[in-house]
Amino acid sequence: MTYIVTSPFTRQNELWANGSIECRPVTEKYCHPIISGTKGELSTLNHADFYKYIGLDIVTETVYNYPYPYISEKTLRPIACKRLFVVVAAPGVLSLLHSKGFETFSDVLDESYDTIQDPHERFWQLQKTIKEFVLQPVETIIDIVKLKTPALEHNFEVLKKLQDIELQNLNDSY
Amino acid sequence: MFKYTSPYELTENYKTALQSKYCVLDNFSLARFDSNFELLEKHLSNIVKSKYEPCDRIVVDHFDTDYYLNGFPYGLGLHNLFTVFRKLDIPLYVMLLVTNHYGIAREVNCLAPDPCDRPTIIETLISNLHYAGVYNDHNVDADMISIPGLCMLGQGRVHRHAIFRFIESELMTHIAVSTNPS
Repeated sequence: MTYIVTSPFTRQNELWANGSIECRPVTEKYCHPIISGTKGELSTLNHADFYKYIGLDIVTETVYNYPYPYISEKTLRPIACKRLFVVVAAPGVLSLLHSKGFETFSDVLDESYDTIQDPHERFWQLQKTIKEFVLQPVETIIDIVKLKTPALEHNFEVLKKLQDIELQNLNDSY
Repeated sequence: MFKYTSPYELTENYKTALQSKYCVLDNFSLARFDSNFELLEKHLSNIVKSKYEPCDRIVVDHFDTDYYLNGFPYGLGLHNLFTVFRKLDIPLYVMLLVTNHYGIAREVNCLAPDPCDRPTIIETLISNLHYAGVYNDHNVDADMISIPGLCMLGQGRVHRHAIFRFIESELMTHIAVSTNPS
């Protein structure tokens, strides 16, 4: 019985992109002027003040080509900050969020990417979804966010109660 | 006294709830050992018993991502975890795997083919990473919106590079971006 050595080289699942997708490593540090704050302020604990200036958070989850709908604090951050979001992640993340009581935004965003298993096809769909949304006039995006405000408030309330809900599930199920 | 809490650990409330249901012999984050399973073996060797009660559990907090080889039916970290239990002759039912990997039973069933000796799996999002406990409530403030999108890229990974290259080529004026190439 031996252990298998793990290293970045054994994350073969992350080597998903073929030549049709431009994925040259990003080597330059870049930060848009509105983005500020410490790492702690960007966690779900503290509301990052600059979120009020944006309409949609494009979340890049920890993993993308992964056998499970892996959710980290990154996906929960726009929920804590009451913003719409798209998740560049494994398929099923939105479905998992729904099962936890969160609402997503399929009436104003094409969320079909969440059901696409093939990583390349999913990526093309994500590009389309993002492009369609962010190319709208800012006034339209403001109206959309106003329209979705009840869902954003609902999601925030679910997030606050998430531990209570999960503890109840624990008591009921195990 | 300062107590370090790993982001990849269950919250204290969740740990307390588990302790009320099981006799918890130990509780550790797998992320602490994922590059050194000899260390985990040493750690668990201190709690090895000759006989285990039905309610005995070793709680494994499994909230970090695993390593996957193409064609391999389970994650390498999970394989190594089961190897530790087998080396120390700890029955697999004693393992309580608390995870945010929804559906991991298919891997566990490969590693523990005997249905009478399988770990308990609890799927939850309640780790220190996910659940902050206290949230600052702010107004939605939709009228303040001036930029359609935001994309903060963390540690370099293929999907983040790909998203950055997509934004860079077409949407840089519509999305506020930050990169972290280190």
